[in-house]
Amino acid sequence: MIGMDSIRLPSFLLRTGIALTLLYAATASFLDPNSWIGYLPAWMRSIIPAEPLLIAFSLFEIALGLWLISGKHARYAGALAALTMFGITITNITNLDIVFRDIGLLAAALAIVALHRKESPNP
Amino acid sequence: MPFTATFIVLSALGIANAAYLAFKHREGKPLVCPLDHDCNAVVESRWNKILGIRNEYLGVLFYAGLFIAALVTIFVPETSSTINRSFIYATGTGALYSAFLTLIQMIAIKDYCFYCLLSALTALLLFINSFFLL
Repeated sequence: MIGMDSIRLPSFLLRTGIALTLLYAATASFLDPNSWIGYLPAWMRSIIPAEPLLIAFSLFEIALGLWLISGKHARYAGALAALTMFGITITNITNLDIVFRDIGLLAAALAIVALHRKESPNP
Repeated sequence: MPFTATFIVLSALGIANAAYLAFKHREGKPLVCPLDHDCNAVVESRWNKILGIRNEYLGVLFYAGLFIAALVTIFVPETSSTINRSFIYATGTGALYSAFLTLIQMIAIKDYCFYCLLSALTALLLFINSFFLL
């Protein structure tokens, strides 16, 4: 098994990188919601009004970003980030020229899960 | 607007980093360095203060000040031109001080603190970012 010392830096870089991406998306969508509302799936917007939905998703992104940075229970935070990236990619698959980057983020989130699969919660 | 968002996110990263160092110092817990260097040798060195204030507390104040000022430019747009101009001087000073502390790590202490290097990088990125706010 990989020792804790050898995973500390890669884990930190992966967690911080994904967290910064999530925090940027959340902050930018608060500042300019019109540029981001279009990425919410139409079927979801037909159930819940777009603006509260975007605010809720932004708050979720902030919470997930802070969780990733904290390093607590990193494998679960990584798994949730991977699910989020998968959801974003699938629901926006028609915008592949934009969301293809999320496939890289999905793999990075899975790497966090792999790095932390068998160790104590704190990196 | 995208560069205001990056400025806010970088300031938040700076706050989290400096607050983590301050928290560890208050708790008296040793830092675990991801770089296999002795972070504690750096943060407990004789260079850890300026005017009697520890660098991590100054860092929290610095990044929190930038974070709040960036929010003010959003909620009070008429202040944005003055504040955005002052960001260049504020972040430039922060980046210079961080560069000085990085040189101290290289030359005087001969050891590195990962979190201090991260703060220096954050300060440099904020300085560059501030030019895109004009």
